[in-house]
Amino acid sequence: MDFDAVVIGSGFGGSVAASQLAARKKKVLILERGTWWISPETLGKPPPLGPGQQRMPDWLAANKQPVQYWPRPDNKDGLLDVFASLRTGRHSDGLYKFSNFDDATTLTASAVGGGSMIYSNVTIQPDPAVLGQIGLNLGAAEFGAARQWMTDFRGPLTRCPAAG
Amino acid sequence: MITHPLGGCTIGPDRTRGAIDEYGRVFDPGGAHPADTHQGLFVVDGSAIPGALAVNPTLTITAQALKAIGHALGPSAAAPTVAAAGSTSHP
Repeated sequence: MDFDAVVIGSGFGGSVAASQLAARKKKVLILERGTWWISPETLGKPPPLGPGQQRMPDWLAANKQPVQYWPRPDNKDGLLDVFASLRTGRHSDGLYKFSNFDDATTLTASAVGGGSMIYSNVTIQPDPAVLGQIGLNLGAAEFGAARQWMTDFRGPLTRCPAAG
Repeated sequence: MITHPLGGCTIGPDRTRGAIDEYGRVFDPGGAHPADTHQGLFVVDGSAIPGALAVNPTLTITAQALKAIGHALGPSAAAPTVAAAGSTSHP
């Protein structure tokens, strides 16, 4: 198979890149090491479906995508769920991975969607003084474009084309 | 404890002070000029962010990724409709 672009990761960086490439009719391969994750309970109100659309769990099943369910830390079984979703040599599809380095220990997660799995809809613009201090050249135009991208893609990414 | 680790391939003015330029292009250590970059290789995730933001990084990572990919690809077509984006997101 030939692709115009290969995108490694599917978080807020990779999904932006892939969506912008696809919008220009480029053929894109996204590489993601994590599986799809779905909340066991429905959170909020699902968006209405248009003609020819289906909900993501149905789309995942129809397309034989690897999908798992979020741990539930808010009930008595939650702690067991967290341990069950650790990413280890024996459970290579787990959600959480501990890594021990010489000077740091990290807890990372792997999922389709990357950081969007856990960002809780928090989209705060940093203080311009902070951006200047670290040398990041982003202003109102760039942050406005980012908010618009999130608005444009929130619907499309939660409603999938029907199978067939 | 750091809850939003950022950086690793950070933005800088040239290869002596960063891994990528402000448009996500990866500096080429073999280039004639310290700010020369590789063709077709970009970093557009949180590792590009050169320091702590003091707020959640989601919007900043998205803004930086859009800036980099927009610079590489040129101005986008109109924002995708639900149907068009659905068909391209799940081919």
